[in-house]
Amino acid sequence: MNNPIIDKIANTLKIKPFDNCQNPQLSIARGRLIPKDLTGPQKTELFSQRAISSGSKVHHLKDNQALKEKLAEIITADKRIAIAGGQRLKARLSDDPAALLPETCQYIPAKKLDDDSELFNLNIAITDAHLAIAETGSIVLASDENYPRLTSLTAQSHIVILWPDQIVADMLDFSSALKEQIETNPNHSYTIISGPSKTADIEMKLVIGVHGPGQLDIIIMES
Amino acid sequence: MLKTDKFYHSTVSSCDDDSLSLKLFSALDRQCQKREDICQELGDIEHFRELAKAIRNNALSKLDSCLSQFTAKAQENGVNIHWAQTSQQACKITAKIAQDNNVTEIVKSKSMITEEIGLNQFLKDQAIEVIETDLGEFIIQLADHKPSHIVLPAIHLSTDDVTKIFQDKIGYDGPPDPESLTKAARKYLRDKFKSAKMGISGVNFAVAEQGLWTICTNEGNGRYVSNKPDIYLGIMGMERIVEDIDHLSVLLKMLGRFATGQRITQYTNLTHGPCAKDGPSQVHLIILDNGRSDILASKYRDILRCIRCGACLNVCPVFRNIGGHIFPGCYSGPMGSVLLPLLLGMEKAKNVPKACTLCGKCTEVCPVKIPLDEMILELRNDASQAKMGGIIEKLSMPIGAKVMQSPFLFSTAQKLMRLGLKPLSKSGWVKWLPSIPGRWTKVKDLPLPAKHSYQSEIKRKGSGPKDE
Ligand code: SF4
Repeated sequence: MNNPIIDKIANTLKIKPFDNCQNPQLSIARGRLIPKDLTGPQKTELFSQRAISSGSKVHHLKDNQALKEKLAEIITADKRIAIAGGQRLKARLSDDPAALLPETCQYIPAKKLDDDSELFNLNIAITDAHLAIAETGSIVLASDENYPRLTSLTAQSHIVILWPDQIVADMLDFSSALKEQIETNPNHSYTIISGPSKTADIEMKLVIGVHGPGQLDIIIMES
Repeated sequence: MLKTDKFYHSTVSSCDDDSLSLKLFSALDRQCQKREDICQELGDIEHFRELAKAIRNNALSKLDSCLSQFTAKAQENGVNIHWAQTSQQACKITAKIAQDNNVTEIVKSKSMITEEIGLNQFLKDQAIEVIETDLGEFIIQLADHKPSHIVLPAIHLSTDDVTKIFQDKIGYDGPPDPESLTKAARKYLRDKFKSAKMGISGVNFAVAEQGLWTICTNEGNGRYVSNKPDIYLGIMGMERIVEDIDHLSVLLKMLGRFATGQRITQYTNLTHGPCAKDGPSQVHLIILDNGRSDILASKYRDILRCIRCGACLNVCPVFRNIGGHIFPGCYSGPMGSVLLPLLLGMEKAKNVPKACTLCGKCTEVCPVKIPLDEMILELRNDASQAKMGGIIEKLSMPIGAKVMQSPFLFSTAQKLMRLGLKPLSKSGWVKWLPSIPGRWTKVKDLPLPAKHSYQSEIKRKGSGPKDE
């Protein structure tokens, strides 16, 4: 392909190469902040601490019964709720997540969310996570047609259900996991979420809940 | 009449604006404190800066192959790649995408590159409305201001200012507090997210190997503009690329920490083309040169490592007093003092590198180790080599050099200065001077030079002053 911009760059770099450029790959491991060999509980502990420090709420639960009770506590009456990644959650919970919702809430099935007036009217989105990162207290979502990416954005509040084995230690572990994932499943879109939506654009005063959800509840299933 | 430039005059009036520097000081101090606190976690910061520098240099040193690999992969993922050599071309491509799809309303997340190319105005002239969705950018768009900081665009405005702007422009009738104002903006912009058919964002980093790119926001507007509308367009400077996803991880660690004192921004989107039935059906990316390839060929190529974190603005003693508005382009502070003469041409920005004390704080803080102060000095040198100084500078510099080289001329000049100033002084202080020297007395009094110079005192007494 003939591209004048790339040709010009190539030409420049030929005449004027960068001298003593060290290969960053050689020292990339030193960019690690969290040791790879943390034990499972250590990772969960660090993840929780950091997620809380960036504004998320973290809940540690033992079983589906506890989950049901927690959802009843978070979700007050009349809330409009959607679930993204329901199939994946169902497989891990061995239970239909919709069946765990309190009876008083309104469950909006995924196919209705094609309609903007439904989508923008959500109170709560429940999703699973693809991964979580202890270093930053972040969760990573992988969306596709069965897991609409906007659900966790338009809702006022977002509940994520996570398992400890999904937590990686460092951003660098996240990137190796993502590399593999993209190769096997190029059709996903990925978002790293590290807390509720926030801004400090007016006189540096922190305000939570600008465009995205104003609350992020992370439930860690420790069974 | 003396020809002084606009930049100089604006600098003076910004310095006179105490409320501006108060706002800047308190905001920037907080920003620096947050950065320092979170950077402690990095342990050996120096090591991370070296690594980040190596990552950026690595990509620049093979920019041609990185870009080829990136575009091939992105195209494979279904992205429409467009190349633009100039701002004008980038604007035209954007307008064409909008017109081909009958788009008249675009939602946009904060992006310095779209400011650089003047995209909003261009599209407005084509009857296409662009709505800024980052809260800070939204505020200044309503007020018709320029961003005053590359990361904190509305830092020059108080809560009362914003309340007034919202009252005038979007019929706000709530109380003057950031929380209620933010809610009002949320409500207003949600309708726009719902209706706009096209979204635009900048690009924080593109990754060559996977053909993906990231958008970092705290508010979530970056997620909206790249996921909700049917057409999404990213616009990136051609240097904003890294080779590998591990490199991206390290730079994300640095960007959040150095820009806003966070481990990572609240939302980091990884975009790599359209997905079946979810998200936009058309994904476009413009890769812009706009002078960058010339910078790559110049002695200033290190500035291309910049990750736009804004840390150098936050520490700069000059920026803290004058803010970003008076710079003749969207970039400001130390990074702007280097970039603007290179992007706009020396003629248009020759005085910008002069607004610097050469204290070197910017270079000390920069996460990718750009030698900003050295470059600023070098740019001044270039400007004087190119004989761009005014007539006064041209005449005075050679005379000054002569005088300073000769001890006789120098001491005579000192004596003459005292003689000349004496009639204007009052109890040892000069309070007013005409013309150019008046720039000094406008801001502070000038002490009348002593009768005898220090040197001659020593000669007379035979030794230096003794400790009491
Ligand atoms: S020059 Fe360095 S400190 Fe300044 S914005 Fe760029 S990366 Fe940040």
